[in-house]
Amino acid sequence: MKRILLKALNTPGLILIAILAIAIQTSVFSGSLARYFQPDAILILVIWCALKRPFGEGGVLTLVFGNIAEIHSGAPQGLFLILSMLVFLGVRSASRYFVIQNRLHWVLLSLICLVLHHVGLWFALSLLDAPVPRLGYQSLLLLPALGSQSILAYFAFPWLENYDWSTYKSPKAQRLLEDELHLEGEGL
Amino acid sequence: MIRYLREYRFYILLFLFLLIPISAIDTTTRAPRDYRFYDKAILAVVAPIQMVIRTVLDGSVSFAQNYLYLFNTRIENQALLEENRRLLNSIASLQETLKENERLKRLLGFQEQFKLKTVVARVIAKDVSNDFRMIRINRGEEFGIKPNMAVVSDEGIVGRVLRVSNGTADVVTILDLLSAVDSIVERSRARGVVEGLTDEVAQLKFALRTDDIQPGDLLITSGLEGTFPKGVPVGTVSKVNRKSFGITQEVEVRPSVDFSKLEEVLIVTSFTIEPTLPTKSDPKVERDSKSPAFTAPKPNAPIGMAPPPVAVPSPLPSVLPSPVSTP
Repeated sequence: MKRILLKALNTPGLILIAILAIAIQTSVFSGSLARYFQPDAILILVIWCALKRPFGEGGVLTLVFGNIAEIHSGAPQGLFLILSMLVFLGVRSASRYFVIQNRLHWVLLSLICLVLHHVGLWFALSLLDAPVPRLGYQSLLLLPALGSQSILAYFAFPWLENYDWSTYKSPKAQRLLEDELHLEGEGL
Repeated sequence: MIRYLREYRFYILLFLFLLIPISAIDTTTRAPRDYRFYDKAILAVVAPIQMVIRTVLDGSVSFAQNYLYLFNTRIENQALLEENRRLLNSIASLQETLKENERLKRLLGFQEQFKLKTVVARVIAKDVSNDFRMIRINRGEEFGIKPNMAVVSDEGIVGRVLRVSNGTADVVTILDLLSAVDSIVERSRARGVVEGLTDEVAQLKFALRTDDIQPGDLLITSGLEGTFPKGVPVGTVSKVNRKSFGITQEVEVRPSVDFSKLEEVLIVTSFTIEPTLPTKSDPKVERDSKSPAFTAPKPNAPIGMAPPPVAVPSPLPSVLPSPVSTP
C-alpha cells in the first residue's frame, strides 16, 4: 500500500520539486553577478519528462512546468509554455537516435537543449514583434549559464533517477512492484 | 468512437499539446496581465520560500562580512574578541539600520519632491530568465498595488507593475526588452521612448536625427503615458550615434537607478500633477519655452485658463481614498 501511495505521489512530488527549484533559482541567483550563472531547473525537468515519462503524462507535466516558469518571468505570456513543449517534443522525437549511458551524456543533452531553448526564445520574440536582445551580448551571457547548467545537470539527473526509483516510478522499480502485487494476488 | 480515440490517442494528445501553448500566447507583449487562480496557488507556495531564502542570504552575507574575517583574531585574544565581536555585531547592525534609514530617508525625500502617494517594498527575486529583467517585490494587492503602477527609487524610475498577487508584485524594469517609457531630454526637450537593451543600458528610440541630444544629457519622464509622474529621472545619455542619413538617431541611455544594488523601491499608488505658472524672471522658463514641446501658458494669459491641479489615479483607480493633497 505504501509503495502504491509513493508511486501516486511521484507526479505531485515532481511539481513540488519544480516549484522549490524555481523559488531557489530566482532568489539565490538574484544578485547582480549571480544572475548570469542562473541554471534552468525547469529545462532539466522537461528533459526528464521527455525521456522518462509516457507521452501524455510527460506532456501535461511539461505544460505545468512551462506555466511555473512563466509566472516567474516578464516574458510574453505563453512563450515559456510553447518553448518547453517544443523542447519536450524535440527531445522525445530525437530520443530514438541517441542512448544516454552516463552523466556526461545527460550534461551534453541538457546543454544542447539550453542553447536551443535560448535560440528558440529569440526567434519567438522576433515572431511576436517584441524587441529581440542583442544576440552577441546574450550569447556571451549564456556562457556562465552553460557552466552552471552542466553542474546542475551532472547532479540533478542521477538524483531524479533515485527519486523515481524510491517512488516506484522507474521501469525497474515499477516491474518489481507489479511482480509483488501479482504474487499477492496469487495468495503468496 | 472510443476505439478511434484509442487508435489516434497520440495524435490527439500531440494536437492538444501544441494547441494549448499556442492559444496561450499573448501577442500584446507590453500589456499588464493578471495571475490565473492556479498561478496564485503556485505563488502562495513560492513567494514565502523566496522571502526566506532572501533573508537567509542577506543574513549570511552580513555574517560573513562582520564575523568571519575576525576569526583569526580570536585565537590571539579570546576574551577580547568576544567583547569585540559583540560590539562589532552591534555596530554592523546599527550601520545596516543607518544605511537602511538613509535609503528610506532618500526615498521619502523623493516621494515628497514629486508629491507621490507610495508604498515601500523590498526586492525579493529576479527574473527566471536572463533575457528578461523583471523583479519581484514583497508588496501586492493587499497594499493596494495594481498592474501598470509606476515603481521608482530615490534615484529615478525603476519600472512598472506587470501583475500582482496578494503578497507580491512583478515589476518590469526599464532595462527589460518589453519596457517602454516616454521620456524627454531635460536640456533640449527632445522626445523619445526609452526601451531596455542590456543589463546596464537602455536605448532612446524614435528620437529625431535633428534633435539636440548629447552624451551627459539627463532624460526625464514626460508624464504622457499617465503611468509615471512627469520629471522623474530616467537616465543619462551615454552614447549618441547620429548618422548622416535616416530619420532617427541611436541613443544609449544609462539608467539613473543602479539595478545591481536595488533593494527597496517605491510603488506609486497615486500622484498629483501640479501645473506651475512660470514667471518671466525664471531663467528655466526662457530656456524651456524655446522648445515646441513646452506648453507653459503665456505670462499675460488669465490665471483661470491654467488647468487646475489634477490628481492622477496611477494608472488604474487606486484603492486609497483620496489623492495626496498638495502643500
